Amino acid sequence: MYYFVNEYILQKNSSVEHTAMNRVKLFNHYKTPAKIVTKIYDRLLHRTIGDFGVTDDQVLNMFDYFQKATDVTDVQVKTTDNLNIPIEYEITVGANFSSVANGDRLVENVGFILGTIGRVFYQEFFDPQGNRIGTDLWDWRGFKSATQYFGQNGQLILQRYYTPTGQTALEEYYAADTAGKPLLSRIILKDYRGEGDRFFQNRDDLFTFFLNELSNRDAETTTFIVDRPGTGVQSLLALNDASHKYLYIPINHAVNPNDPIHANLDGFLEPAFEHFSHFDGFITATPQQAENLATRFPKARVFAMPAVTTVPLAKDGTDRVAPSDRQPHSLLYVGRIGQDKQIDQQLRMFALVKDRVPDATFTLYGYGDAKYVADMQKLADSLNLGDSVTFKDYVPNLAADYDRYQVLTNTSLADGGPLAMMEALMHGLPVVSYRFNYGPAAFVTDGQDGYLVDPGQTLALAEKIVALFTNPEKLAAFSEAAYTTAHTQWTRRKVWNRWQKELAANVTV
Amino acid sequence: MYYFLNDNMQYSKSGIEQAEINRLRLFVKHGVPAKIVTRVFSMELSRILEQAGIARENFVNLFEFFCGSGDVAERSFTMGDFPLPANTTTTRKNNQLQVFAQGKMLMIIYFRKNSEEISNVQYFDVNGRTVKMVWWDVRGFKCLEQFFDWDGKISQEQYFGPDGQAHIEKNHYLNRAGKSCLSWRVFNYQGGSWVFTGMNELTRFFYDELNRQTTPNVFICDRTVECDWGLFHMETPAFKVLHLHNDHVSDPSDMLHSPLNNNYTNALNNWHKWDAVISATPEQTQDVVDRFGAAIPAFTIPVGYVTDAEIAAKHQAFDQRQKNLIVHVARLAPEKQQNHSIEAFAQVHQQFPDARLELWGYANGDIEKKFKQQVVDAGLSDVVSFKGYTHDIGAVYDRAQIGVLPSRAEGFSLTLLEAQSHGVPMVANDVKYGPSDIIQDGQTGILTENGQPQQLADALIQLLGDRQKLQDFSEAAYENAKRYSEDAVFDQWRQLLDYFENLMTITAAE
Repeated sequence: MYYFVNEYILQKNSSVEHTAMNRVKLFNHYKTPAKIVTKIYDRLLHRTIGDFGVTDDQVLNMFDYFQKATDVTDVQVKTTDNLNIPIEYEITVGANFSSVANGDRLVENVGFILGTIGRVFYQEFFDPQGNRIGTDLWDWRGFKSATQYFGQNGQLILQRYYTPTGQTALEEYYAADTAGKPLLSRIILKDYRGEGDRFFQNRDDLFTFFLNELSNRDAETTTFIVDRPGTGVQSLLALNDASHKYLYIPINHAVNPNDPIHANLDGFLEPAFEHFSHFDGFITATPQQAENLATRFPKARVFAMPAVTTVPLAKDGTDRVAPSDRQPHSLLYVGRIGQDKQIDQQLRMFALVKDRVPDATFTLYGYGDAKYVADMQKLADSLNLGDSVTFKDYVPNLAADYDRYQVLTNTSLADGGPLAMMEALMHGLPVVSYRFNYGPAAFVTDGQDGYLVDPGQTLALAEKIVALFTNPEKLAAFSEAAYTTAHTQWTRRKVWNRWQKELAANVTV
Repeated sequence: MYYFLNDNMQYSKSGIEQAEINRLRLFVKHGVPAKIVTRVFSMELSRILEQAGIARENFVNLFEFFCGSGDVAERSFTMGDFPLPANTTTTRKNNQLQVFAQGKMLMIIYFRKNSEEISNVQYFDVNGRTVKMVWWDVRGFKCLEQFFDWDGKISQEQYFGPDGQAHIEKNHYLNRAGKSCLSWRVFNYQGGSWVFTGMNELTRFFYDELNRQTTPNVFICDRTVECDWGLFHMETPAFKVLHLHNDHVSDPSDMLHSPLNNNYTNALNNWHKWDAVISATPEQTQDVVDRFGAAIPAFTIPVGYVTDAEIAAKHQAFDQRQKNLIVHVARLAPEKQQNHSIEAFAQVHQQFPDARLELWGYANGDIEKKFKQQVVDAGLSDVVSFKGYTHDIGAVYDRAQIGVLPSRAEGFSLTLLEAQSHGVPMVANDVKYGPSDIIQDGQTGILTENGQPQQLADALIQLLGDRQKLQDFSEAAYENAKRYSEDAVFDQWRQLLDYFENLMTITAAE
């Protein structure tokens, strides 16, 4: 079994999760058993994955595993009506929760899952003094998944998790941290496999045990690929068994992105490379990063692997959208709205574009720190970009949206290989980007399917975009080149062959 | 179904519990469905019932009802059933087993006294703070978990059933004044969840749930302070009967106007909520009718009886009894006035140096200390003994030549009847209610005035000084007890049963 070790799959994901989701679909397409492993407790996980076309058997959550809820086939829609609320209680229905009262006294609130019609998310109970005596947490799949208990000071003291049949599976006890907030101070795994209780200090310990169990209970040799170093490295370092262990490097590994050979390593990656022989290999998104790491750690095995896959282009061209069929003069950015992405430079650059091409538009997809996003919106206004700039927030599946834009831009400081850049090329968008480590040089052929300019050169960047916007033939040629490159280099078959070759290289019989 | 409402059933029983057990036996014998109902949690209830000879089918406890733990076979629960985590070390200290991992204590396992059975387990977090205590029922299943908050206070207690699920939760939270307030929650019960402001509300719910199981039902309330609120506030229809076990007023010299006995104030102020009232003696029935009227029937039914076996038993030969042994059988309590027995006994002992006084009964509060001090001060330590509670009071009476009961008040005085049935003449205060009904003054005992220890002393000296008379009294006592045979007492019950049967028929017809 292949396990892709992640922290979570959220409603808004980074390229780390998208890469893992692409990979699990690829492996499963070729009938190779693989699952994404997630660590956090998330009652909505099984709803969320549906938004990304990921199925229940493609994820394995740690809490589901210990709660024996990995395979809940009888998914039920539970609403207040299904809770057997005593008939003598009066229910007042609200938008986000219903209040349940016995006469004048509030007994409980029933909270709903956002975006549903009354699907139960939690049930909190009150004593006659109005103290919260316990909160039941309901899973999307329609069973009571956990209960939170509180001390006399109202703070969380215990979170107890259940199996779908109501047996206690796990207990987490909390103590006060230095700021007086709840801090996990004991985990008890109840009568695990009939062998008695097991005790853990924190969730990291539990996660290590979990990965260990996955490997132990696998009839075949397990292969772990860690997608989120902060989640998986320490646990895999503690795992001394025959399982294969890989680390996917989702970022530029160097603190100083322009000095990949000598600069300090990223804090999460450092322990992994300190014990590089513990890992069967390190995987990067680009050959350039693989080469740099190989120079730095000549004895470590490092290889590059595309984070996306494509299928070959149709001969009749029906799977392509010509730039002339897209919104004219539309510029696109997809990625996190963050300082390290230098969105401010993008906006200033776009102002230059708009000077020359007045009907140009710029659309940014992605989530970000609320304050930074607001700052950027303010900046756009102060640049008089008005309606030409649109912040679209995050969209789970952008495939259809790419086809509406003409050019993708990126002015990041550093990256491990922007997923959106590959996706844009797949959808026939030329890419005009800074030349940063890593990604642009690997994905884009300067002057053919995009342009690369030196970091900080906003004017040059703007000119390249204007050149494409004002020359329809060139734009069409670049778009065609983008389609061709992406659908030749990264085909599912080719990528799968590379995986097989790389993973086989380490299998010692 | 007849439900006998009580608060608690323990190894030590007061007259009220004894009366219920007696009544239950009589009902079972005559095929009248009945259960004793209690509402206090106990982890050894099954053993208490066994010892008291109460069958499971005739008993229901609030906690066991909601937790589904009424009828569970006893099984052992030892370390063999409680595997320890791997890589732990243990240290045994007396009845404790401490479990460590990497130098940190994970838990302490406590064993029952002189046994390898696990009683409870204390869990610690990484900082060494107690986070949870888990308890096992004597039948070998987890029955209680207690959670401790950051300040070491118990914030929740959860009561578990043999199904491994919690069904009742006791919550200890603070009110605005910072005082701990207990509230209750019943959950995982019929798929629902109920919150209760306190034990009374929970009791009310319990009675309603019981009442739904069979219909129609008669609830006989034997403990008003604990049970009457729940009973009065039931939402389902049921017949409710007040069973008086004591004088219902606090000043027996003015039955019509005296303030009510604290224990019965609420019950009697809500007189209209009862469907019938039971007193143990005709005298009390009359007093009750005089004061509260006859709108509801008042039945007179003794709370005790002499079993057919006891009547048939061979009489204890008088010379087989311990010469000059005086017994006082009653809870050690102010109203039982053991101090008067001791005071009178001081004189008796001067006359009869071989006389002994045995005080049988468990103590209420710290009164025992006072009585013991009194004995020491009177220099009677060698001749007066405190014997505690016994389950075989018959054996005590079979050894005694005479008994005393100088109570300030009584409800029926079961101990008098027991004494008489074992041929023990009694010197008893003529108080309300019971002594004048049971004792035939001058034939099977002597009635004395309350607050006159000298009369006690005189009566004891008189009887001990006249061996023949004492022996005659003893024989007469055996005979007297037959008035309270099982059949005679059940005849009294029959009137009440008929009354309700008739009412039920009418109700059903409506």
